[in-house]
Amino acid sequence: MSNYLLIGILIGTLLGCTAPFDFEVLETEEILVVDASFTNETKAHTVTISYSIPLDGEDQELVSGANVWIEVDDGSRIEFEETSTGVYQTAPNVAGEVGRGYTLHATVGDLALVTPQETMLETIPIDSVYGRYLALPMDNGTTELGIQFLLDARGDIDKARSYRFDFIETHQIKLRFGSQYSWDQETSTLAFRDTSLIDCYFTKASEELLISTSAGLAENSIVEFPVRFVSESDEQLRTRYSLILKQYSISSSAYDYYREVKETNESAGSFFDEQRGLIVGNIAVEGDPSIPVLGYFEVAAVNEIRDIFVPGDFLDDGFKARRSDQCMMSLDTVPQNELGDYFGNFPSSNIVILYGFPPPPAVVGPRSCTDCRLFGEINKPDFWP
Amino acid sequence: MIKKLLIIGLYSIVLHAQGQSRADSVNLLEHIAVLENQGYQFFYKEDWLKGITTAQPNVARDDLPSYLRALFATTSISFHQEGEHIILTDNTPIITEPAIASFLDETVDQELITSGYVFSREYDANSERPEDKTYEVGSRNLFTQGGETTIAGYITETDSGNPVEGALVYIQSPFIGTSSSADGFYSITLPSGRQTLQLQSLNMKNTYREVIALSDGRLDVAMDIDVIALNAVTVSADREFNVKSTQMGLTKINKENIKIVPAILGEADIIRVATTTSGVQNLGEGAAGINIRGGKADQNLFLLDGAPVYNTNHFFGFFSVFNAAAIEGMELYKSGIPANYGGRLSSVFDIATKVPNKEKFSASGGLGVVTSRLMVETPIGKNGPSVMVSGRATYSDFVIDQISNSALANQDVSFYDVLAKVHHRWENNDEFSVTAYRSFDRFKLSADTLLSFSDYSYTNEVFTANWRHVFNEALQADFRVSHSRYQYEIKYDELASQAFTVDYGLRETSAMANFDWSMGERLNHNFGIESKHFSIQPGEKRPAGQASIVLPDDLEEEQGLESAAFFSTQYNVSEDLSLQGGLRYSFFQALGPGTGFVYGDRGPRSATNRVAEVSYENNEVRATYHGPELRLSGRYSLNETSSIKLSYNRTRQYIHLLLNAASIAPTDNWRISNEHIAPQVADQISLGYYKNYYGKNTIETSAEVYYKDISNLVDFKVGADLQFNKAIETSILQGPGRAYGVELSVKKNNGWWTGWINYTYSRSLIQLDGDFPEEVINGGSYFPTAYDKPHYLNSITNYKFSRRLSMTLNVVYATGVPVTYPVGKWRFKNSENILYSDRNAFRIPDYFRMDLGVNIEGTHKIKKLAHSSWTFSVYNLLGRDNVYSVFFNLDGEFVQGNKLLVFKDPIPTLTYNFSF
Repeated sequence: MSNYLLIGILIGTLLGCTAPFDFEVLETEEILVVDASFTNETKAHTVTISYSIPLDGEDQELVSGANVWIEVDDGSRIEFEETSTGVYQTAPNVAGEVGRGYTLHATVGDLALVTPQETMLETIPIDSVYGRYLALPMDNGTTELGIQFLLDARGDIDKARSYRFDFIETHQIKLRFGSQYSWDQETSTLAFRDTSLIDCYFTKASEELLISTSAGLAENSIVEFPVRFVSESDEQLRTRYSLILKQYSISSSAYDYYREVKETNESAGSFFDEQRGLIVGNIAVEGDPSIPVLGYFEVAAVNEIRDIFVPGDFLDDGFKARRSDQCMMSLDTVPQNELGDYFGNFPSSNIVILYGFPPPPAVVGPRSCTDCRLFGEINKPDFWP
Repeated sequence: MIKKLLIIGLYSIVLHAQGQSRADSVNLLEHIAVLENQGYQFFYKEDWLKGITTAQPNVARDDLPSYLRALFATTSISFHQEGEHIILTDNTPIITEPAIASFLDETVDQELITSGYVFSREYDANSERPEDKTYEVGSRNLFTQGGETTIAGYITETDSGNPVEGALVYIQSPFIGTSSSADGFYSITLPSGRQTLQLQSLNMKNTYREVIALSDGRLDVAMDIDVIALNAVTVSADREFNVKSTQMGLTKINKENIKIVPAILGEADIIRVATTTSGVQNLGEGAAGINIRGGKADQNLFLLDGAPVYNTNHFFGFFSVFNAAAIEGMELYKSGIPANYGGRLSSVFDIATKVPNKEKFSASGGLGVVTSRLMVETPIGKNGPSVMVSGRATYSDFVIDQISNSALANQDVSFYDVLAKVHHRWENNDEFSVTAYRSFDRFKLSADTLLSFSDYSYTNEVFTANWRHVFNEALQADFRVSHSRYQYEIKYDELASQAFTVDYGLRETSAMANFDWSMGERLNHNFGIESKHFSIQPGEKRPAGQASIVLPDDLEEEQGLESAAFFSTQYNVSEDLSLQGGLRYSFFQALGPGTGFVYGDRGPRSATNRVAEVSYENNEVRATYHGPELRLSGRYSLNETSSIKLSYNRTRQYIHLLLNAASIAPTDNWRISNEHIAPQVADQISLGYYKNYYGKNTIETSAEVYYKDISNLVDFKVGADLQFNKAIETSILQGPGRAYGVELSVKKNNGWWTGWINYTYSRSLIQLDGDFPEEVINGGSYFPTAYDKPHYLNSITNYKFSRRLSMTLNVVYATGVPVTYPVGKWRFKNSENILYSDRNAFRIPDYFRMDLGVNIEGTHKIKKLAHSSWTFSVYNLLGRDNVYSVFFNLDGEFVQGNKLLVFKDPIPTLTYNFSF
């Protein structure tokens, strides 16, 4: 067989794929979680102490009765009081100072928790937060059109190089058929509402760890950092959309910790998956390193940017907010003298307007089409224009 | 023939002389004169005979041919008698007739060579096996360099002596063959010199004879009864090797073995064949890296003609980088590792490339499913060196594109490897060879799937020169210099402003002198020295593209020197007891230049706990490690068919692959020991019982138990970032490890069905119990490593329906590998996060796979110019959904489990083989 010719023919096809995997874990371990942040904002700073949650559980078990304080590098102490179960806060007028070192202490039952001294680093200014219309690839292989909000920040090279971000987003909910009249069934009274149920405001805080670093770059700049993606089919950009974004100057250790936590939550299922496990932060049990504590004591200087966007900002790019008008079909017209009977049968309806020849009949619709309070707060936020 | 005689006649000078002859020794010139006085006439050149004396023949002078044969026996003179005329030649045989008949009547020509041509390595005086001997055929007097020799004889059955009809007798290169007649007679004319005569016959066990064909002569061969003639299934080369050798834990794999194991995607692979043998595990399809006896994937030393190969994987580990076409065979040591090998803890894969064809130009090629290949071999001039160039490359992404829906789908993957070898053997049996090798892999993956990098490429380059010098019968030496280079480049380009490449490079330059000294049949020594210089560039970061604002950055280069001296002795105390003792003393120095960090005692090694920096000058010693490595083994024969063996070996490893996943990834990098990373040291003791059952068929059985104790096993902190890490010691954890197990093996080497079945129970555990929370894993207790597979069963069954149709079934069962499961969630900064169990506390589902190969041979007519065969194979015959890995994602508040399946359907492949 010194000379040979080999011709291979592949008959079938190869299939490799991922599929859902059912796994059962009977045991669970309760591990202490400390969520602690101390910044240069003047406010009541918070430390939350809880236990980890079982896989099938939802509610966090908060830890009451702990003794929490921060030791400042000048020897002073900042005390925390338990304001609600498991939530410990400083007085409302406390602020950290850039350049100072802070050490967190807590006693939880028999355990004395301590962190290394963390220094508050100087932050860099945020240039802007802006949106860009693009098609974002989704996990399932499809793409979705929408606005990706991005952040640019730039500053001196000697300032902090790693940053965490969080944001509070608010969007206005404007119901086309929001109720302008109310009906009191007991007194059979029809009344014009002081505040119609057309405009509400929905506010939500970010729910993931957003981090970035300029370490290894020639400039101390965070460029095109993706903050939030709003799809064309999402509610946010139908009217007005506000982003209040905070930037925290964190240490490189904190950055590494958050990165590891994020990587642990996201897995591609590749051939080269890295080792998973419990990631230890900067909080330790004094005298017993084998007891793990989850969480991190973050010391950071904060700056903030807030901006409001409207769909028109992106119309030229091709952005089209999709809106469904199913409510049109759900409306009905009821003569005023039959409103009592009507609300007897459909108590959760609302009157949109009175419309027609006098006495104008009431245009009624289900709550989901007429009451914006189902989707948000009716009170306008302070910052809303 | 007549022409030749005439020429000899023309150049011969007729000379007449007279003289006295003495009783004990005679002057040839004078003696011929005496004979001429008796009426004979001699033709010769005076120079040939001048001054030569020879012993007085002890034969009556009236039988002149016998008399002359005896007279010239100790000289280089040949003679030819034509009546009264006698023609003499010096060192040139005179062939008067091609008749085989003349020597068929003789029975003494078959002589066992005991000196001069054969060396200790090739000649095993202890062995009873005719295959281990070398036969001289014909007369040295009649040998003509570059001539042809006709060998003829009878082929018989060993026990009965019955003639074997239709046996194939051939040499492989150039292919010359014949077959035996009804009375077992055969005759074959082949180039004179050293040849390996192959013999095959239906119902007979394949055999061969090492022959030195000097001149026409006779060689009778007895063949053992067998039913398998083609593609015999043998992993250990020798029938009695199992029981009689002192060596434990050795697996030999040759080209024949490669052929019978059903190939994946039609690509034969020697490393894959190794995984069908006892105690060799891999983690499943696409898992690069092999785990031997609970050892980590970086604890195996892969040598290609003596030079190390650092990344042995093509194509995500589906294939090895070793092109089967260019490989002669492989020896795999799992325990009792000989003292001349060092540098890795668990095993040695010693892979030898083919000796290029010395007879004629030949070329071969192939079109496989994944690759195409070409090999060219040729001798350069007469008696000159021979050269081989062999390469293969992917020619399309067709296959990859078929792997739909997986991490590999629509990705751009390509690779090639090329090997060139020059080999020369002098007449004094000195040998010199140079091997150059390069392999290259490149693939592109979407950045969101793997490691967040997109473009990967890596290269192995190996150069090695070997010179074997034979000092004398007892002493021979191998001198080797080699250079290996491994480098990779990875690229991140998702954001143009932050696009960069990272390059990694490793060079190992080594020199070795290895001596084999035989002091007789019972005592053999092996000794030598070896030195390796490592130079590592752990990372060079460069901006990619104009828009990138990434700063160029380099990790400091590392260098180290590992030297070792070794001596080992094999002493056969008696027939029953054989002992082998060896000592290797290895010495390693990590050398500057470089910067080292000193960490405080009160915290873990971390960036925040640095208390000082130390700068090292060029070649300044950063750290020194050294120690003896004892290698002992012994065999005691209980009786003719069974033995027990015991071995102990210590191995030390100074270079470590930083391997964060269970499988080897192309981003893993090798780093050497330094002031923070201690060498890994393993002690292995193993005990084995071996028994062969002889009869119509030979059945080899063995049971080996082993225990391995490892110190400074390298592992990592959770979430360790190994890429471009300026202080890698902050990510590394080291701790003790232990592995133990039992390997049971049954092997049937002949008969209609052959094959082997191995069961291995093995455990592999590690303890990471540091002083600080991030250094304590699983509370500091021993826990299973990511490659711990307690139950492992593999078997190969080959059934021969007829001479032309055979079938092979390959079965693998393994316990699922350990994995870390989510056991809870935790809330932090308004985010939901997964809480994982203790490391490796759970296991993925068990692995089971069955492959089928059917081989249909063409006709076996000898005169047929070309031979062909069809191979049909089905990989994963049962289409079982073997889970490669499981992984977990957070979907809102829910933890979603997913499994990755590589090949969930059977994969049939049809291959056409053609040989000429």
